[in-house]
Amino acid sequence: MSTIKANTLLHSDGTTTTQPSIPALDKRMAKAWLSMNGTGTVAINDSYNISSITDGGTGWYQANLTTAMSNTNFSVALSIGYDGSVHNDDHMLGVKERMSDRTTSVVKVLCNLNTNGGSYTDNADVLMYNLIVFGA
Amino acid sequence: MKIIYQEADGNVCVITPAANCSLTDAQTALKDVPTGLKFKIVDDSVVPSDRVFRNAWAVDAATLTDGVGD
Repeated sequence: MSTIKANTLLHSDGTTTTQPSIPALDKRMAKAWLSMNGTGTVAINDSYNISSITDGGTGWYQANLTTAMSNTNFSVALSIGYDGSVHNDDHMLGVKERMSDRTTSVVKVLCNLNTNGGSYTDNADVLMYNLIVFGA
Repeated sequence: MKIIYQEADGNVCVITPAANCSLTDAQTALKDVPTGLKFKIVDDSVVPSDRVFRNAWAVDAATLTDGVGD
Protein backbone atom coordinates (compact mmCIF):
# COMPACT_ATOMS: atom_id res chain seq x y z
CA MET A 1 0.00 0.00 0.00
CA SER A 2 1.32 3.41 -0.92
CA THR A 3 0.01 6.93 -1.12
CA ILE A 4 0.67 9.35 -3.95
CA LYS A 5 0.75 12.98 -2.94
CA ALA A 6 0.80 15.48 -5.76
CA ASN A 7 -0.67 18.88 -6.56
CA THR A 8 -1.07 18.29 -10.29
CA LEU A 9 -1.66 15.16 -12.34
CA LEU A 10 -1.01 15.45 -16.08
CA HIS A 11 -0.97 13.12 -19.05
CA SER A 12 2.55 12.09 -20.11
CA ASP A 13 2.33 14.48 -23.08
CA GLY A 14 2.38 17.36 -20.58
CA THR A 15 -0.80 19.04 -21.79
CA THR A 16 -3.84 19.91 -19.72
CA THR A 17 -6.20 18.80 -22.49
CA THR A 18 -5.28 15.13 -22.84
CA GLN A 19 -6.75 13.17 -19.94
CA PRO A 20 -4.52 10.87 -17.90
CA SER A 21 -6.10 7.44 -17.74
CA ILE A 22 -7.31 6.15 -14.38
CA PRO A 23 -9.12 2.94 -15.38
CA ALA A 24 -10.51 2.14 -11.96
CA LEU A 25 -12.23 5.54 -11.77
CA ASP A 26 -13.28 5.79 -15.39
CA LYS A 27 -16.93 4.84 -14.88
CA ARG A 28 -17.29 7.29 -12.03
CA MET A 29 -16.40 10.30 -14.15
CA ALA A 30 -18.84 12.18 -16.35
CA LYS A 31 -18.30 11.48 -20.05
CA ALA A 32 -20.06 14.67 -21.10
CA TRP A 33 -21.92 17.61 -19.62
CA LEU A 34 -23.78 20.62 -20.91
CA SER A 35 -25.28 23.86 -19.66
CA MET A 36 -27.26 25.78 -22.27
CA ASN A 37 -29.74 28.63 -22.64
CA GLY A 38 -32.89 27.68 -24.56
CA THR A 39 -34.40 31.16 -24.75
CA GLY A 40 -33.71 34.02 -27.15
CA THR A 41 -30.58 33.19 -29.07
CA VAL A 42 -29.99 29.57 -28.05
CA ALA A 43 -26.47 29.26 -26.69
CA ILE A 44 -24.09 26.93 -24.89
CA ASN A 45 -23.07 28.32 -21.50
CA ASP A 46 -20.36 25.72 -20.97
CA SER A 47 -19.80 22.08 -21.83
CA TYR A 48 -17.50 19.10 -21.97
CA ASN A 49 -17.37 16.55 -24.83
CA ILE A 50 -20.21 18.34 -26.62
CA SER A 51 -19.62 19.14 -30.30
CA SER A 52 -22.87 21.06 -30.70
CA ILE A 53 -26.48 21.46 -29.66
CA THR A 54 -29.45 21.25 -31.99
CA ASP A 55 -32.48 23.48 -31.53
CA GLY A 56 -35.30 21.39 -32.99
CA GLY A 57 -38.20 23.70 -32.09
CA THR A 58 -39.82 25.05 -28.95
CA GLY A 59 -38.59 22.95 -26.02
CA TRP A 60 -36.69 20.50 -28.21
CA TYR A 61 -32.97 20.40 -27.45
CA GLN A 62 -30.43 17.87 -28.67
CA ALA A 63 -26.91 17.39 -27.35
CA ASN A 64 -24.38 16.00 -29.82
CA LEU A 65 -21.37 14.33 -28.21
CA THR A 66 -17.90 14.87 -29.66
CA THR A 67 -16.61 11.44 -28.65
CA ALA A 68 -19.39 8.86 -28.83
CA MET A 69 -20.23 6.48 -26.02
CA SER A 70 -19.38 2.83 -26.59
CA ASN A 71 -23.03 1.80 -26.33
CA THR A 72 -26.47 3.30 -25.63
CA ASN A 73 -26.73 1.98 -22.07
CA PHE A 74 -25.38 5.20 -20.62
CA SER A 75 -27.06 7.18 -17.85
CA VAL A 76 -28.26 10.74 -18.38
CA ALA A 77 -29.08 13.26 -15.65
CA LEU A 78 -31.23 16.20 -16.75
CA SER A 79 -32.33 19.39 -15.05
CA ILE A 80 -33.88 22.69 -16.10
CA GLY A 81 -33.85 26.17 -14.68
CA TYR A 82 -36.67 28.65 -15.26
CA ASP A 83 -36.94 32.40 -15.52
CA GLY A 84 -39.12 33.68 -12.68
CA SER A 85 -40.22 36.63 -14.81
CA VAL A 86 -41.60 34.25 -17.45
CA HIS A 87 -42.93 31.29 -15.47
CA ASN A 88 -44.77 31.52 -12.18
CA ASP A 89 -43.40 29.50 -9.29
CA ASP A 90 -46.44 27.20 -9.41
CA HIS A 91 -46.00 26.35 -13.08
CA MET A 92 -44.97 22.75 -13.70
CA LEU A 93 -41.96 22.45 -15.99
CA GLY A 94 -40.64 19.06 -16.98
CA VAL A 95 -37.86 17.61 -19.09
CA LYS A 96 -37.74 14.14 -20.61
CA GLU A 97 -35.50 12.33 -23.04
CA ARG A 98 -37.02 10.85 -26.19
CA MET A 99 -35.40 7.43 -26.16
CA SER A 100 -36.22 6.64 -29.79
CA ASP A 101 -33.73 9.33 -30.79
CA ARG A 102 -30.90 8.16 -28.51
CA THR A 103 -27.71 7.01 -30.21
CA THR A 104 -24.17 6.67 -28.88
CA SER A 105 -23.66 10.37 -29.62
CA VAL A 106 -27.14 11.95 -29.42
CA VAL A 107 -29.39 12.83 -26.47
CA LYS A 108 -32.63 14.60 -27.47
CA VAL A 109 -35.00 16.03 -24.87
CA LEU A 110 -38.32 17.84 -24.72
CA CYS A 111 -39.25 20.44 -22.11
CA ASN A 112 -42.94 20.76 -21.24
CA LEU A 113 -44.93 23.34 -19.33
CA ASN A 114 -48.23 22.96 -17.50
CA THR A 115 -49.63 26.22 -16.18
CA ASN A 116 -53.05 25.23 -14.96
CA GLY A 117 -52.57 21.95 -13.13
CA GLY A 118 -54.73 20.16 -15.67
CA SER A 119 -53.98 17.72 -18.42
CA TYR A 120 -52.90 20.29 -20.99
CA THR A 121 -49.19 20.75 -21.52
CA ASP A 122 -47.24 22.62 -24.13
CA ASN A 123 -43.65 22.58 -25.27
CA ALA A 124 -41.63 25.28 -23.55
CA ASP A 125 -38.25 26.92 -23.91
CA VAL A 126 -36.30 27.15 -20.66
CA LEU A 127 -33.71 29.59 -19.38
CA MET A 128 -31.25 26.83 -18.54
CA TYR A 129 -31.06 23.20 -19.56
CA ASN A 130 -28.41 20.95 -18.02
CA LEU A 131 -27.26 17.45 -18.94
CA ILE A 132 -24.68 15.07 -17.48
CA VAL A 133 -23.75 11.74 -19.07
CA PHE A 134 -22.20 8.80 -17.23
CA GLY A 135 -21.37 5.42 -18.73
CA ALA A 136 -18.98 3.56 -20.94
CA MET B 1 -21.92 30.50 -36.51
CA LYS B 2 -25.08 28.44 -36.84
CA ILE B 3 -25.83 25.43 -39.02
CA ILE B 4 -29.32 25.17 -40.46
CA TYR B 5 -31.01 22.10 -41.90
CA GLN B 6 -34.54 20.94 -42.56
CA GLU B 7 -36.07 17.65 -41.47
CA ALA B 8 -38.21 15.57 -43.82
CA ASP B 9 -41.41 16.98 -42.30
CA GLY B 10 -40.24 20.53 -42.97
CA ASN B 11 -39.19 21.32 -39.40
CA VAL B 12 -36.22 23.70 -39.30
CA CYS B 13 -33.34 22.75 -37.00
CA VAL B 14 -30.54 25.06 -35.91
CA ILE B 15 -27.20 23.72 -34.69
CA THR B 16 -24.95 25.75 -32.39
CA PRO B 17 -21.36 24.45 -32.43
CA ALA B 18 -19.56 24.33 -29.08
CA ALA B 19 -16.85 26.97 -28.87
CA ASN B 20 -14.57 24.63 -26.91
CA CYS B 21 -14.79 21.81 -29.45
CA SER B 22 -11.79 21.28 -31.70
CA LEU B 23 -13.94 20.55 -34.75
CA THR B 24 -14.43 23.22 -37.39
CA ASP B 25 -17.99 24.35 -38.11
CA ALA B 26 -17.90 22.39 -41.37
CA GLN B 27 -16.72 19.24 -39.57
CA THR B 28 -19.42 19.71 -36.93
CA ALA B 29 -22.05 20.09 -39.65
CA LEU B 30 -20.99 16.90 -41.39
CA LYS B 31 -21.03 15.02 -38.07
CA ASP B 32 -24.15 16.45 -36.43
CA VAL B 33 -26.52 17.07 -39.33
CA PRO B 34 -28.50 13.85 -39.90
CA THR B 35 -27.27 11.65 -42.71
CA GLY B 36 -28.40 12.80 -46.13
CA LEU B 37 -29.83 16.15 -45.10
CA LYS B 38 -28.54 19.33 -46.72
CA PHE B 39 -27.27 22.16 -44.55
CA LYS B 40 -26.19 25.79 -44.63
CA ILE B 41 -23.65 27.48 -42.33
CA VAL B 42 -24.80 31.01 -41.49
CA ASP B 43 -23.91 33.91 -39.26
CA ASP B 44 -25.60 34.02 -35.85
CA SER B 45 -27.50 37.14 -36.88
CA VAL B 46 -29.44 35.17 -39.52
CA VAL B 47 -31.30 33.20 -36.85
CA PRO B 48 -34.11 35.13 -35.10
CA SER B 49 -33.79 35.63 -31.34
CA ASP B 50 -37.57 35.98 -31.00
CA ARG B 51 -38.79 32.41 -30.44
CA VAL B 52 -42.50 33.12 -29.94
CA PHE B 53 -43.29 31.50 -33.27
CA ARG B 54 -40.28 29.16 -33.30
CA ASN B 55 -42.21 26.22 -34.68
CA ALA B 56 -43.33 28.29 -37.67
CA TRP B 57 -39.81 29.05 -38.84
CA ALA B 58 -39.26 28.12 -42.47
CA VAL B 59 -36.27 27.88 -44.76
CA ASP B 60 -35.92 27.77 -48.53
CA ALA B 61 -34.45 24.30 -49.11
CA ALA B 62 -32.71 25.60 -52.23
CA THR B 63 -30.45 27.73 -50.02
CA LEU B 64 -29.06 24.75 -48.08
CA THR B 65 -26.00 24.43 -50.27
CA ASP B 66 -22.98 24.03 -47.95
CA GLY B 67 -23.03 20.25 -47.71
CA VAL B 68 -24.87 17.09 -46.73
CA GLY B 69 -24.79 15.36 -43.35
CA ASP B 70 -22.61 12.22 -43.22
